[in-house]
Amino acid sequence: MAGCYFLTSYGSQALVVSWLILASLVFYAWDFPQYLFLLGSSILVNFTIAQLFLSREWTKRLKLSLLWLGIGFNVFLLGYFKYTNFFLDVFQDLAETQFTFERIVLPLGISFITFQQIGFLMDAYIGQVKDLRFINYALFICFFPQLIAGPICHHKTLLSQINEPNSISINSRSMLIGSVFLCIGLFKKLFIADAIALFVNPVFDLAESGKGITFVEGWLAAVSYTLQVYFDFSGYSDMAIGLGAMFSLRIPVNFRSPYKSASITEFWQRWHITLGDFLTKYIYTPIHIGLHRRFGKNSVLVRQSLAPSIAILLTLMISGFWHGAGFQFIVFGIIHGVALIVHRFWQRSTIGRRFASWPHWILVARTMTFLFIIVTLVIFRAGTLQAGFSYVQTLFGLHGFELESSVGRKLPIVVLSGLLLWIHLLPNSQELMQRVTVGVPTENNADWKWYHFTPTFRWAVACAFLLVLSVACLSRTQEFIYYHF
Amino acid sequence: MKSPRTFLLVFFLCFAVLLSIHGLINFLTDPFGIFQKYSPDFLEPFKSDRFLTRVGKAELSRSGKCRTILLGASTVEVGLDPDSETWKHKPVCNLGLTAGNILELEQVLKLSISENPDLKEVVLAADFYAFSDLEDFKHDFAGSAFNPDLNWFKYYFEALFAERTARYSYLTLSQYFANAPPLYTPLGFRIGHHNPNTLKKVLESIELDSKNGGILGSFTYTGKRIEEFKRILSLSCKATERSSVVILPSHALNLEYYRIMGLWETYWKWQKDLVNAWSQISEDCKQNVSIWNLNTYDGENLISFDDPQNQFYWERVHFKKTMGDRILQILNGKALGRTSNFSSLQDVENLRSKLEKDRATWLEKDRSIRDFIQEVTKSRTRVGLAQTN
Repeated sequence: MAGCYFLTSYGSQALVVSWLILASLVFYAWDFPQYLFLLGSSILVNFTIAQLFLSREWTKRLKLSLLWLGIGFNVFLLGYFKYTNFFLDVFQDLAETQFTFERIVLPLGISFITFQQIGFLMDAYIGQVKDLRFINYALFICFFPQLIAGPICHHKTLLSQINEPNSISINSRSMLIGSVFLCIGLFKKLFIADAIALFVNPVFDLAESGKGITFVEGWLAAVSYTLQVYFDFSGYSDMAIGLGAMFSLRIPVNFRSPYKSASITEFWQRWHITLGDFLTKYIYTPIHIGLHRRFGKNSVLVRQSLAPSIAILLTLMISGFWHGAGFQFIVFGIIHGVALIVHRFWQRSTIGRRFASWPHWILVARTMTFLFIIVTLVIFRAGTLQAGFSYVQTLFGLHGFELESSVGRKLPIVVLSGLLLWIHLLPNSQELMQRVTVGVPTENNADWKWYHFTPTFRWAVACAFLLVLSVACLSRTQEFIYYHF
Repeated sequence: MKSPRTFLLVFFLCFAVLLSIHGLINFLTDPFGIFQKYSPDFLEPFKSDRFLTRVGKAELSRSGKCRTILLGASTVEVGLDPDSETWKHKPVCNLGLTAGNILELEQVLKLSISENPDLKEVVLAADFYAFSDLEDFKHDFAGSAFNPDLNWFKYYFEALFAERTARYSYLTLSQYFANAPPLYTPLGFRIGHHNPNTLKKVLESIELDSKNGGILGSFTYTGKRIEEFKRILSLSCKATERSSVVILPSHALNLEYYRIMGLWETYWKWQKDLVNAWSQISEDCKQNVSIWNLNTYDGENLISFDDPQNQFYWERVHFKKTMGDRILQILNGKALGRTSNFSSLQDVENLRSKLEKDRATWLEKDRSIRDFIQEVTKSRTRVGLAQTN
């Protein structure tokens, strides 16, 4: 940061960008230096293909071949590093063999990097990328705050900022906004999410080991995990936004109070927003259009119902598999896909419209959505599909309604209730920062004006207090949940 | 505030002040005994919770005052009193670790030898549980001075600022203000934490453990942990004047638990391995290393948990100080008015046949126990990677 500050004062933007690339690469290489080459070559190949699109007029066929080559390259890298172990394990199970193989270590942030680059290539293919410089592109991909767990930045969001002259600068205002976001993010991750993990992990470990868990401890751990995953990932996203803001770069918002959603469709518009945007634009839409063109010209049923439903299901399956190499992730995706399709039909039905006009419906819908998320996240968290299903059976009382708990530590009900009230009632980070984060997309919520961050003495003390609490929790840190996705 | 600069200035100043206050409280309270020189003496008796952690036990070892050390697991921690009159070389440090295993004990001994120049005697309590192949360093071992690869910067940073330190500081201070009695003596001996068990509860715990696996459900023994045992003995022989190895007694019902779990043969194989290792090391050792197995099927080890005179066992594994004092009398060669026929372990087969005879007599007298054992054995479950070869 000091180097960047010096270079922004006395150097050119190119030097600043180069400095940030260097810092990002050092950050990346800290744990996995062997994958630095992989990151570098991936950036180089994608840049070269995008540059080829821009450099001259190609025939449509050749251009499409180039695009497929680029996508194939990215998917191959992701497939090899993320899914080889999984497929070999599946093969071993099916063939009942027991050969040993060296397991491949997942490179940091490969899923995020791959999607970001595929999105970029597709936009370059359709001519949405006009201006391309290597160092700017390299920083767009490897900028350290968003490198390991997103958000998945669109080139129009981040690359366009980097392309602007003198856009990267460190000043007191950028530091102010960045520090506050960073404090909030650190607090969410270190103080809340990591503390919850201490209660959640033993129960899920017990469930995975095949030993029974009771009805009550199952629900407590499931609700706790729902909170943990939100505070963990949204905390990381806040940190990324904060670190970006320190350099005057605006990283896109990734969460907008997802647990306040009144439907599963709304949930996916509020949860991991940048992934949702990517999936909608680059997977759902092409599949939908393809099906529509091929089968929907003469059929209303295909056009209005089948094509979007198939597209939704495939997209969510891919989303599930993207999250992790395991059947539980695929099933998680399928369940969410089915829920989205059901909701789509429900919204259009007469009964759905009637319910929607009922004044208290929002409360019922929110509760149902939240419960659905709790139950499906259990499958997402479980180490295996079998453990996930068994856990869900426990939640539905199929293994009895035992109230006692065999796991020693439980999240106190008062804390759990407080956190639930927080996520359902209080404003999120962006709403809190509405008055100062000009440029970062925010949700206008007039109800919370009294709560907005203003650079006052009280806020400075409060932020310092959050930071001290976070520093105190550094010793018990858990990996980011999305670290290996 | 007029400018962002002022906000940042106030923010960083507040952060520095708050962090310093937090660090200063932890430094002065010093709940783990890391900064003992600077911490007020009046807090010392209320820091005894530190011995719940490996960090605290390691600091006891680092104090440099130990002339005798007791190595082992929780049986040592709750049963062997370092303040006993029978010790020849005092002060004695009770370095028994909750759920400690042989891997950890090797590091405990290494640290103790390097930090205690006047170390004369080592008592190693060999615990069957501690020799499982699957045993590994426990979670908080890595953050203690026992860990040879400890990151000292991180260690002191955590001693000052970590949430855990703050939690133990709070415990220390609240115990001081409530004048609460300590959990441990200053030399690491755990006092007064167990609730006396009834026979019904003990039998229930055996039944439950046999169904869900308990600690021994995934017990795996191939003898590879014997290497660590050899290294411990060898180190002790070189660095001290006197070494003893002892298999501490447990209630006869605990031996039955081994049997129920299908580990009876493994238990004796383990003892043979111990004796073989002991004889190999003893050959090169100048001192006379003693080796004991204090498990029997008579006397105190058969006492009923419902007996009001039960001064010997908390439950089937952990024995009380009265029993511990008897053990220390044996180990330290003092006169003993005993009822159990405690034995040294040089002849494993002899010992086994004696125990089998005593067991048969016991079960003949107490048929309800015999029926219970037969019933539970039928329904036992072994989970995970259980192996007994």
